[in-house]
Parts: sequence; C-alpha cells; structure tokens
Amino acid sequence: MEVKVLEHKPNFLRLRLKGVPLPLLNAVRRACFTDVPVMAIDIVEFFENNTVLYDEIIAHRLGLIPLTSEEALEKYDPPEKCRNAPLGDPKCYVVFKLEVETGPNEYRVVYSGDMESSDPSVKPLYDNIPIVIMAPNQSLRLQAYARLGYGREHAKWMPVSIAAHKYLPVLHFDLEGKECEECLKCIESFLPELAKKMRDQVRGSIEILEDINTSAIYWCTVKRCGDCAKLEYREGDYLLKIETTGALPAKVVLFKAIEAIKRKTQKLLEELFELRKQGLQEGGRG
Amino acid sequence: MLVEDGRRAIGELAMIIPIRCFTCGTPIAQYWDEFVKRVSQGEDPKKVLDDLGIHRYCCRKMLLTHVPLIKEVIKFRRIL
Repeated sequence: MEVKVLEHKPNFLRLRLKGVPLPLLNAVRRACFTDVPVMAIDIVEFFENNTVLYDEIIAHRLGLIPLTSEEALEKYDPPEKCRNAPLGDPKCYVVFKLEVETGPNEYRVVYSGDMESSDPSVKPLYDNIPIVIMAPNQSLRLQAYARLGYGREHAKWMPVSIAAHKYLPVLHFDLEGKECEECLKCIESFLPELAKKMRDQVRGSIEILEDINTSAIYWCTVKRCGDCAKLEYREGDYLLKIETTGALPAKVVLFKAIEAIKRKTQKLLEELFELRKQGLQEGGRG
Repeated sequence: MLVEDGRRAIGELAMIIPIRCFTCGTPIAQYWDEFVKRVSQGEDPKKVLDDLGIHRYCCRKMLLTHVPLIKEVIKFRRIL
C-alpha cells in the first residue's frame, strides 16, 4: 500500500493510493460523509420573531451554518451518548443567543456573526452569512442549541461537501510515423500543456495526476486518435479527493473516517464472537 | 416570478441567499455581500466568482442566478 499526498490545503486534500482494495477506499469515502461528527445547530427556541421569514425557515438556515468543531470533538459527548440528554446539558449542547431589534426607520441584515456562543471554541465559521433581513420595528429573539451529529441523520452534519475517488487516468501515446495532427488538436483545444508534452515526448505514457476531468480526453482518444493515443483507467491506482465545508480540516475528517471504520469492524467482530459463543453453547446442550 | 429579461432563475426558489449550494453542500452565503458589491460596481461576474474561488458550476449558479426576493417582501407586514 502506497499513499502520496498530491495537494494539501486546510479544507482540501488529494491523495494517490496504490494497492488499496477499492471497497475499502469506498468505505472510507462514505464514512467521510456519514460517520464523522460535526457541530450544527439542531434545536431553536423562538421567543420573538416578526421578521418576514418564518421560524422554521430561520431555524433551517441556522442549522446549515457551519460551526468550527475541531475542539468540540474532544470536548463534547458523541451523538450516541447525547440521544437522551436533557436540552442544555453542558456536555452535549452549545447554546447560541441571538437578539436583534430594529428602530422605526432601520433596515438591518442579521449576520451569523451576531450570534453569541456559550463556548468560544464553537462559533460560526464565517461571520458574514446573512440569516435574515429585517424591516423597521421588527425584533428577533431566539436561543439555539448546537450538538454533534452524524451526516446520516441530516446533511447539515456532513463535514465534507465532496469526497470522491477515481481510477488514475494514464494516457499512452505513440506519435511516431503516424498521422496524429487531428488527435493532438483535439487534446490541445482544452489541455494545451498536455498536448505540448505529447509532442515533445513523441511516445510514452503520462499519468494525469492533476485535478481535471478526463472524460473529454477519453472522447478525443476514442473518436479522433485511432491508434495514436489511448486512455487507460488504471486498476488498483486511485485518486481520492476530499473537500470539507470548513467545520473540520480535511486531514482530521480522513482520520476520523478511518477511525469510524475501525470501530465498526471491531464491533462486528465482537458481535460475531458473541453469536459463535451462543451457538456453541446451544450446540453443546442439544 | 420572471427576471427582467424573461428567464426563470434557479434563484427564485429562495427568498434570501441560500446558505449552502443546493447540489454539493458547500457554504456559499458568505460570498454574497462581496459578490453583489463587486458585480454592481460593474465587474464581470465570471471574474468575481473566479477570485472568490468558487470553481464548480453548481456553486456558481447559486450566486449567479439568485434573486433576493426578500427585498420585495420586506415592504409588507407579516400576516401570521
């Protein structure tokens, strides 16, 4: 197994993985969506709201605001433990307060930065997300409770916006002594650098590690290239791309996803062991 | 509702700029103020979106086609 980091920014990660079974890689990818907890506002209590947006709409908008949750993962109980916790339990919930009033001639945009958090480590990732626009003589008073949750429950708890894998595209080409101008022109029209490389090398193969769509190259190779060039999607060699919403860094999301899979397989093994033990006991009795 | 030139816009589905992209779930509302400011100053929306780092067309359509209907509705008193 070979893992190489191709690109690493706080909210973006691209890896090349060699010799990894595809089902395992897909499990990691799917765990990124569904099994990594993040913070999101879940319950909202409205005391006063006469803005043009209804309570439900504002509650929905609040829920979608990404909250910084890296520290919260250690600080707060996981969603399983909080299922029956009372509202406002300090081990489970972060409380947000929002109180805005407008004067007789005042129009005002309420931003996510106007919310006061009970825990400074859990706060809106961006301060300039508009929540609602208020007309004169309106007021909005609410209290919101954020908790950790899983993406399988609601999309607002998904830490990633994109987690995708694909086979590594490899372009094989041999331009020597053939009529390949049409092929090169086709590729040049959207990837001039790649076409230049092909012209320089004349023959060989290029691994396309950049984050680009290769369906257009595939079209060129099938329709325009004949035996000049061929695009191979190499088995056992994968590119994994993760882009987070910002609530957690991409690296943390990946590690947490792997942890989640480990935890689940461990649980499966334990259950199997229990069943086997029961089976042996019953078999002995019979 | 129809936009000025008669097209129907995806943006009319929402009264106020949606917080996340409908398709991929990336937060996009934080770019709204800057986007509106720069486009109304006459900049090309394509360039603004590129500068903001919104590269997928699903997210670009959210800002590009949004019609802030809340500005029309806000004139009326709430009935409920």
